[in-house]
Amino acid sequence: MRPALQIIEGGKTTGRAWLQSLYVKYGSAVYGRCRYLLRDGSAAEDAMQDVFARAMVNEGRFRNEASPLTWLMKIATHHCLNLIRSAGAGWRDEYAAIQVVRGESHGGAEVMEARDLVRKSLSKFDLETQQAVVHYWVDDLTLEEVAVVLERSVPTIRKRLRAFADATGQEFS
Amino acid sequence: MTTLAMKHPGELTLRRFLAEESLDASTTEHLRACAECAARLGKLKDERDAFEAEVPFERFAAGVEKATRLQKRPPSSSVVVLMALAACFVAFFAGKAVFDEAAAEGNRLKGGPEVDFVISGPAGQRPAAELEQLSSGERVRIGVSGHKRVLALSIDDAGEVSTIYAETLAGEAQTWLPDSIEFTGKGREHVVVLLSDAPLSADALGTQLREHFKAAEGDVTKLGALEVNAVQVHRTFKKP
Repeated sequence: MRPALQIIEGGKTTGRAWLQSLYVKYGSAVYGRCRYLLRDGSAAEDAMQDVFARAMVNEGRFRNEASPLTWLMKIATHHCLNLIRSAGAGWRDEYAAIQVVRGESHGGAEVMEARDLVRKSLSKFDLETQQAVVHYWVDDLTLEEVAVVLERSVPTIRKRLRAFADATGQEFS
Repeated sequence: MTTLAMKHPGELTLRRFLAEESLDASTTEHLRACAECAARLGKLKDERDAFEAEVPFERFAAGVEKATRLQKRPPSSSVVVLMALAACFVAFFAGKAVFDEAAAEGNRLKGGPEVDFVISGPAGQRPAAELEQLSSGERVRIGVSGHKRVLALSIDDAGEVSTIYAETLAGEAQTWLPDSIEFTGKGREHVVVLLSDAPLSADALGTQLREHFKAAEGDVTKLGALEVNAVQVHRTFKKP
């Protein structure tokens, strides 16, 4: 008897339905980001699951994001960069082992190669610079958009990107 | 500048378009008209198909649900177990764990009984305070662990008692009880969650709750703990 209460759906069935919509809309993008950074399908899948779990745990916030995909990509990027750091893994640099499943969609092989060079150069920089670099050169976000995503000022992000560009020869204006 | 003359949107924007997220009108118009962007979108769709073939949904969902369980940390401030003196003695002699705020904030035994009240709504999620003002649209979800049986009762300002949950749990790991709850009507609703390994009588405890209500002269914030050999957690919600 629940006379004063109204039960709202929120159980497992609803959770699965929501998860399915996340899978269809965002799964590929998040998996691609994890695989791009981790370069290992299995590790990328685990990381992707962690990222979506974060969305599930923070459901209220996630649902209120203006761009849920941008939020997921931010979390995925940060999570993967942290995984690499905590594992003490060197950034593998064998072109032959590249398993990039994304990156060909805009500009073909040249862009893919540029993105791989970006990724390989990341290890020389601090985490925040790494995040800014990925969002700027891989996601093609503008300087202002990167600043918003990382909750930093535009001059701070510009400084970080400038340092990266100077050290690696990337174009940055 | 026509929409076709504008700079091609970046990859994230393309992915947002594909995910049917809201974009500004000129970008949307460009993406619908630009052949080059259409080709890029086509490749992203192919990539999405490849992902769905490589990682089936069931495997994805199982992995995410497992990761979600691992990530969920009980909000430390949400657990306040109220035990009346008599109940404390009972618990002591029965060898039951007695938890207090200090325990919740750092001394909790691994695997010990826990009750979490999490409020979810348009403003996000938060653990419930002892006396919590709810806003319109906010719902309450209850998580429990550490015992086999859970009984959740509520009583409103009119003294009406409801059984919200009377469940036998699959295990002692943290379990989020099914459904989230939205309180209707006005005034306050006091919720008691009881955890035990022994059966709990909803009728007897409901009667006891009414007696406490009478003794407190209808003030649901002053009901005190029920006399029962069980872990009990109380929360009062002010309805929107």
